[in-house]
Amino acid sequence: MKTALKTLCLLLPALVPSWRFFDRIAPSPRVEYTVLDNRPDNRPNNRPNNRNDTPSDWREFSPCPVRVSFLQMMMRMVWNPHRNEYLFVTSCAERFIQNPTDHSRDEIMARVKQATAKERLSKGQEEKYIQFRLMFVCRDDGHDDEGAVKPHLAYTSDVEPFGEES
Amino acid sequence: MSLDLAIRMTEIMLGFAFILQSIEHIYVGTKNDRILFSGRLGLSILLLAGLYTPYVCAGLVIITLVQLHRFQGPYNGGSDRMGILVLCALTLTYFLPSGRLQDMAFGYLAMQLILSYFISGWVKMVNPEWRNGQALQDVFAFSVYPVSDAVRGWSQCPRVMLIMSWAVIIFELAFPFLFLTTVTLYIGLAIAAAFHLANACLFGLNRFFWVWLAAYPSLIWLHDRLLGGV
Repeated sequence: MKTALKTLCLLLPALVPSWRFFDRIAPSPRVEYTVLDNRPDNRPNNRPNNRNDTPSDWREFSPCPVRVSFLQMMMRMVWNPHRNEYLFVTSCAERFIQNPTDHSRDEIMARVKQATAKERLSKGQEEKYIQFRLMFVCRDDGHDDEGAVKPHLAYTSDVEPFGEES
Repeated sequence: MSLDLAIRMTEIMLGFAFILQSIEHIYVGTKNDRILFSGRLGLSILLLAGLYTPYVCAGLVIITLVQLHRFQGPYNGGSDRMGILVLCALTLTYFLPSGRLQDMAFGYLAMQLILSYFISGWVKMVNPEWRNGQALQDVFAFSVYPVSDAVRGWSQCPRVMLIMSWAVIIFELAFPFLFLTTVTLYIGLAIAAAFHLANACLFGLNRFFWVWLAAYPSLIWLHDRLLGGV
């Protein structure tokens, strides 16, 4: 019964869509990660952490390239797996902030690990731990520097070993 | 366009869109994803080929439900939702008993296609930030969508953003009226396809292009059914 109800909740928005594309421009998520040699002693695993007190070497997950050629754009019409995966990861980030679930966090962690594993393998790096954080970029409505686009930290994950499957 | 032809064209286009999606999932997904999407790929090929279509559609619906649980919702937002809508409308046309009910199922898809443009246009029209170009400027400046820094740089051209905003709003709001004659309908669908192509190139939303195109035959059929010859 619970599964049937859940299925209906997942299916209904597709059968009766709202079609409110871009009705407002919400803060936009960026996923950043850092790789570590050791788990920081002062940051035990599973501790809630939303402070910006973690290592400074944060890299953006799947940053957009400087330029994409017309030919690449045409190729991406039929083959765009990484871009579509990136859009899924950012939608998990939005979902996680609105309604934190293990599913959203684990999807982000798994995909960041997967992408980073390839990079580490190619560079021969041997860091043992990984952590991600969610930044949300929006236009600053404050009094200082009004209208500037600024990132805000929304969440920092636990440190996880690379070998651990999420 | 007859209902049979519209259904066949929808099968081909939806099958093609699902094949592309499935191969991508097999490429980037986990082991379980590969199993799930290999099944979806096989059924999509059968859909494209027009073989055992009622059973294939039913199978695809079941896989879609599993997929919704797997990702706790759509994988790629609106494009997945439209794909599900097209698939469900197609499936209903096979399993509903009478011609009239089949017409209603396929007509519902056409109506949703019209609403997909009109409601998108309406929510922009009532938002002052869309009317002054700021919203589109923000989409280019800091949303996740621009495919490159060069495309993101378009946000520095406020006049271009304003013109593009109004072009999108006017087109989306006008779409239901383009349905009224055959010539304007085909012009409208060509502009809409170009719009999705631009979104795919600038924002990487390639899935929208193929899935929305798959819904177009329903609209052409409904036009001929209701206003044939106009």
